[in-house]
Amino acid sequence: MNHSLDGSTLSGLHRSSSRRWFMRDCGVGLGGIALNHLLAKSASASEIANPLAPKQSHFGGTAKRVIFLFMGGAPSHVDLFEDKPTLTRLDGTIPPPELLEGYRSAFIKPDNKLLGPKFKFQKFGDCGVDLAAELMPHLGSVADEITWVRSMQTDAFNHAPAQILMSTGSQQFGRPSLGAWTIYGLGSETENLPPFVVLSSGQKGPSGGSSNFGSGFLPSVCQGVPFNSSGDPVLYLSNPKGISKQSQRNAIDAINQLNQKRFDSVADPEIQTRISAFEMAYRMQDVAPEVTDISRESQETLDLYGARPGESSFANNCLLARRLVEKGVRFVELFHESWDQHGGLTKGLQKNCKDTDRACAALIRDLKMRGMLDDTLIVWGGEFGRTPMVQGGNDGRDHHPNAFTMWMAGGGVKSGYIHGATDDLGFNAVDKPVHVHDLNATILHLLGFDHTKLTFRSQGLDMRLTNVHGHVVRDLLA
Amino acid sequence: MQGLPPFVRRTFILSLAIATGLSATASEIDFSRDIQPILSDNCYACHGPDEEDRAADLRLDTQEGVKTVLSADSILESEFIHRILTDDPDDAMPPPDKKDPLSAGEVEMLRKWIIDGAKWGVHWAFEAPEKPAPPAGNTHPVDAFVQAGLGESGLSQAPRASRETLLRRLSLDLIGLPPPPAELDEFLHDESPDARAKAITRLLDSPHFGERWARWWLDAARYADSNGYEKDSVRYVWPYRDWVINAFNRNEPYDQFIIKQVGGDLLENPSLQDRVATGFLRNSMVNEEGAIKYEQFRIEGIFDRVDTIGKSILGLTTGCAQCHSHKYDPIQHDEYYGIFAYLNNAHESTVPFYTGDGRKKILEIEGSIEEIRSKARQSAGALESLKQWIAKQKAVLKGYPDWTTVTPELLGDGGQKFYPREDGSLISMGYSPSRSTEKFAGTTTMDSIQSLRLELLNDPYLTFGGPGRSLEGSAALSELKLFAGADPEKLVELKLQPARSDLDLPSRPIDSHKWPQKNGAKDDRAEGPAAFATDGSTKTAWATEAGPDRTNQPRLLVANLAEPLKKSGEGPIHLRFELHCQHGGWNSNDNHHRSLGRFRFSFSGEKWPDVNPVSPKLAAILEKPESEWTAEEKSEIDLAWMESDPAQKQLADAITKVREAHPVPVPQLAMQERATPRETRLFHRGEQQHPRHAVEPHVPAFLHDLPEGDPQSRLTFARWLVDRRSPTTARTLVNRTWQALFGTGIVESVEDFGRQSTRPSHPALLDWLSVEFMDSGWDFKHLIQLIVSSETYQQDSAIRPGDWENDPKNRLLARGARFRPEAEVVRDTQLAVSGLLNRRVGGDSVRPPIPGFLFLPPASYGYKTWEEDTAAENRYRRALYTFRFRTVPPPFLAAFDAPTGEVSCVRRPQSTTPLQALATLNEPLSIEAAQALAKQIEGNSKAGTPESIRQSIGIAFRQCTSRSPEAAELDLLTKLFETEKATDGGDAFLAVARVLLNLDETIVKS
Repeated sequence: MNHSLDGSTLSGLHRSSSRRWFMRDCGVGLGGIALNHLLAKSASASEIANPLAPKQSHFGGTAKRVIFLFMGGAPSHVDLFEDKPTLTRLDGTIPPPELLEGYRSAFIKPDNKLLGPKFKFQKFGDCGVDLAAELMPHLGSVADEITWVRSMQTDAFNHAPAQILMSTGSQQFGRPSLGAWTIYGLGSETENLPPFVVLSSGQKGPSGGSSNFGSGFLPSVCQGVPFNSSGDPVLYLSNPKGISKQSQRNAIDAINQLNQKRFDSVADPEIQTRISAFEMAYRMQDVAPEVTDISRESQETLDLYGARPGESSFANNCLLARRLVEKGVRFVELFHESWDQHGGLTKGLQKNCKDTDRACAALIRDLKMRGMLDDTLIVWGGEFGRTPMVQGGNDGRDHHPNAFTMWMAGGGVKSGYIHGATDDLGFNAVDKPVHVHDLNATILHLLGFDHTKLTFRSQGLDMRLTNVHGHVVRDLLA
Repeated sequence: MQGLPPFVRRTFILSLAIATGLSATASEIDFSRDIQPILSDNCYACHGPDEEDRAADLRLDTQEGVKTVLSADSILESEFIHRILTDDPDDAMPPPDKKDPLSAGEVEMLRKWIIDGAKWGVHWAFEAPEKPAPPAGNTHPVDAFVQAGLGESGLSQAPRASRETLLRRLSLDLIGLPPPPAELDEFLHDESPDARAKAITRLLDSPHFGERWARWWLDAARYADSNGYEKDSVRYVWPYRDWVINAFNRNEPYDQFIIKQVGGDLLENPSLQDRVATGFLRNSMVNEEGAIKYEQFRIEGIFDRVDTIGKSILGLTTGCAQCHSHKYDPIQHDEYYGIFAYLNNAHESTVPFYTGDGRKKILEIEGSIEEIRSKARQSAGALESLKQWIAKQKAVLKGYPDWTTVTPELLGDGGQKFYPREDGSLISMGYSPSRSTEKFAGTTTMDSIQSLRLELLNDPYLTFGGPGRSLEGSAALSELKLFAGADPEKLVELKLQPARSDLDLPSRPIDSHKWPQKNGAKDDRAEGPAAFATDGSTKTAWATEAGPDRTNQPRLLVANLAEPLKKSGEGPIHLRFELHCQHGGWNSNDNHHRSLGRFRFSFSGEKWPDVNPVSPKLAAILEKPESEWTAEEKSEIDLAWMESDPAQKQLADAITKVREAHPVPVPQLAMQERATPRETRLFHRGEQQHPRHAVEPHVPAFLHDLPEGDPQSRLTFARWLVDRRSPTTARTLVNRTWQALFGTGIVESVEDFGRQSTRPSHPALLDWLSVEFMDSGWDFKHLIQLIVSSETYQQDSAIRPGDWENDPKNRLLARGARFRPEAEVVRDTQLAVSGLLNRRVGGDSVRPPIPGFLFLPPASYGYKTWEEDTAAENRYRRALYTFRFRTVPPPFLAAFDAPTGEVSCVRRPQSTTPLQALATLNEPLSIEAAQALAKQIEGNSKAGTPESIRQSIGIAFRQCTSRSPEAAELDLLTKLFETEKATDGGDAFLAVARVLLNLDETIVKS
């Protein structure tokens, strides 16, 4: 499109018709501005009352909900997803210096020796994706349900900043997370549960802490609510000791009746919001323990995931995620922070894949069986990749932002599609690189949003998840 | 208008009044108010101040620029208008793929503006406020302005709120606590005409005023008790928090309040408190993740400081200009780095903070030492002995061998980073593991080596100057190993003779409280004299904790090689050093580190003589002529002499004894200016790896000029921030204060007064208050007093028919404010009305109950310590004192929208959620409050009769809501009481207390 102000492009006719319209039809008066100002810029009374009301997306997306499997610590793409015979061959040699120009590494000296992949690769599915055969047999068995993005790139190479970038589109803290933007855009489909639920398993919590699922400047109801996998699923969900269910009901009835009386005399709609909040809290006390009780699942389903009721595990959380989205939770984010293999790479990957492989595949299968895969987007990935160079002796890798692999399934992405590639060493994403901003733009697109138009005014700026970046990766769309 | 539904027509008239403010009538076009927002919103992103992305080389943020697209003869046929009106998507502006077309009303506004001659002006907030005369007809200026605003809307002000409501509102707003019944009674019965004024004065004078407003400022100051990022370890910055409380309580003039926080360390003879105040800038997060580059996150910290100053003091959005010139406001890319440069020249340092009692204790100790010392000097032969001792020390110094410094390079990928300093030393910055073995490689061309020296050095970066990395500035060296040889691949370990040092602490078991083993495992580690560093065992360490008054000195460790090393062959001697630091705790995420901070290796071809080295601190004194010794230095010499002279042993021991009571300082983070300026370079696109030209400290040209003073100094910058000529500083503070009291600022976007800001609801009032605030000497209490004494503030908050539809956000102030106050007020109200609250002001942060799993993986990244306060003394302190981990924010407060402190927050969201209901119903402290209140209800109804219970419930109702219940309300509560009483296992008193604490009226400010 030509945006230059070249006067010669103006046609005289055009000019005069515009002018006529301008002179004749534009007489709505100054008030129009004010009206526009009010309708466009400030929230309506109903929005003030309930920012979680279900909303239409810009153009109706293929995905209605998201399960984000955040593999904190950063899985090694060179050991798990990409068969690089050259890297195997050059194991123990110094990487080519031209590759390292301007490269910044975290722990290691950039010219540490190359380290070949630790596991044998095998091609899976009709798409023929390379996977470490021993580690991911289950994921391999659903390879054709998945879009594999092997050309991911990010800007940060320390955990917290990179996780925050993945989660919020910015390395600076204080921005809303992808989950919060999703809730802001689409609202909630459940009145009994929080619309954005966070689960955590693995060795640690996420490096970026609660900012990974925060609401930033968006309404705080958009933020992720951590569910605990044992005990009370939601903080303060159980009645205090000695308070029976009936007693709780009686208390809430009395509170709401008194609040209603107060509303009758002062008419503040916020009181109505509070009354519904107490009702919702009461319902949540019923619903949340039921939803999170995976022992209600058949043995067959438990086995599919490798879930064991009463434990705290990634498998349990995957099953829980399915139960939550079934009940209308819009965005479930699972953190599994265990992938930071600076050393103990071989055993670490074995353990992590043992903990996650079956459940990831089960989630895809289970959602498909239930007819939910088509409109549920699953995203799997960490905050960056790992170096083709060794760290320590011969069994570790450092942080690497230049290339890594993520995968997505369902929600309108292609099935059995491999996108992009890295160079022969797995060092740089060279074919069709996908930046974190592009991924976020694409996820918002799948949810039905133009990422440049899903905005919120803060600090005088129309802020968005992708800042001033991001392109929808159309190749990924089914 | 005819076709519009009635409610739209009504909102239309109202919004017109809101949009146009007070002074203008609808027919007058005001460039700043009416035109610039349209241009800014629709045009400036591509045709604004940012030269780099400017399209078609056209500016629409300057009059000259707009003139180039406005034809003088036929304005309406000009390019400017054509582009707005055309249907051709290739020509249309704003580009249809980026923006929606202008509304008809906006177009009309532009048309009228052009016909009137396209008058230009400056954005209203970029011109210093002038004091307008309040509209006539009202004695209180605030009311005069607000009434005038209502004039056009058809709304009228509400009657004054009831006395109960009013005192509750004043009390919550001024001190953050509800009024106790006795205060209510007193106020209700005060018939004097100045009853309200007296109540306001009493609250302004309360020590709790500072607490309430400190929390308000701490949001902006992004205060938290931990470092953030992944490790998020504990920091000790509550002295800054207390400084803020005290500043509000003593009504520190706002200009001084800011000057001290931004440049307190640069004032003439700064006090400890002035330096503590600079903790404001240091509230930035600190990344201690393994292998981070310190400089990268130091710079991130400065970005955060610029952002904080922008939001909280200037009311300007600066972040854009970090990467390019601002799209909307005239802040140039260079100017951003001009501000950055003022903040770029400081060490991120710590000051040892002592409480008032601590300082008293130190004076006592110093007095006692002085007494003992003069006794020693008066003893027989003392002066002669001292003289000989000094001569002996000088002789030792003279006998030092010549040293050659070797600056080695770090080997391995351990994650701890060391950076060379100019003097050949290395400093550990960023990540510091709790236990580590760091290996370094170096070379020397010396012919032979007989001895080595390891100096531990001070550095402003280290806590209290170090020399170690621990939170005391101390270190422990478990083992020092040296390897050498001609072939770097085949180095052999060189045996060292027992090391000597100027500090040999007695051998003792490790302090396993400070440096614990995981899960309390048995600990057989010991620490003590320097020889522990060379004894072949990592179970023993040379420790430097010589007491709070002596730990933070440079130290010196020397050792002879068992066999001299001779150079063989042509090449240099290759060396490898190993520093084994195995005497920290177990948790690298929790301040368990104790490794070396700054150190330097040197070698000598000579042997070290058979003496202990002189402490570097003493050596520095001894190098000067005695006539130049200060009193302090003389004392230093005397004490060292006494410790070495057997005749003085008894007195020296007495001093040791006295010193044991020395209080432990708090490591408050602070700014400390560097002696040599650090160069600031502009970062292209804000990216650190792309530094461009050097930038001198300077301020944005569109704002006011610098005041007198060194134009390069952070102190001058601080004074500039609160210069009377600043167009935004006073407005920003007044506006945010208004927001705290009314729920919404006069300018709703309190963080941004730029061209994209929301229009002020009462521009003249804002300016009047701002100038009045400055005229009063930046008197904060005066500002509050002025606002809360107005009828506008004191209106009833009930919503009358039509009010909500007409003005849902209460922008025109035709009623009093009614909103849920901050999380801390919600918590404090629970504690206050139940009688649990401990009202002590200030001190270390406290740890009320929080579910423990939140502090453990996998909920938390690292293992965090949360030793719950069980005694009422700390358990029931105000929420302001609750310890705040940034990554694990206190869940009760977080549920009520308290910020995490990761970035500056000047406007909290105000949500009402089911999670809040669960918190106030079920959370342990909420329950404890309910139990305490239940006990009161029970205690007040000893008789046990229905009447006495009803009466007692009424008393509790009033404690919670500040008003007496109506009969119907009491009926409802007594009915609940009876139902619960009749239920097996029911606790009727508790049931009623829980209901009262969960009432909307208990939680909100009416």
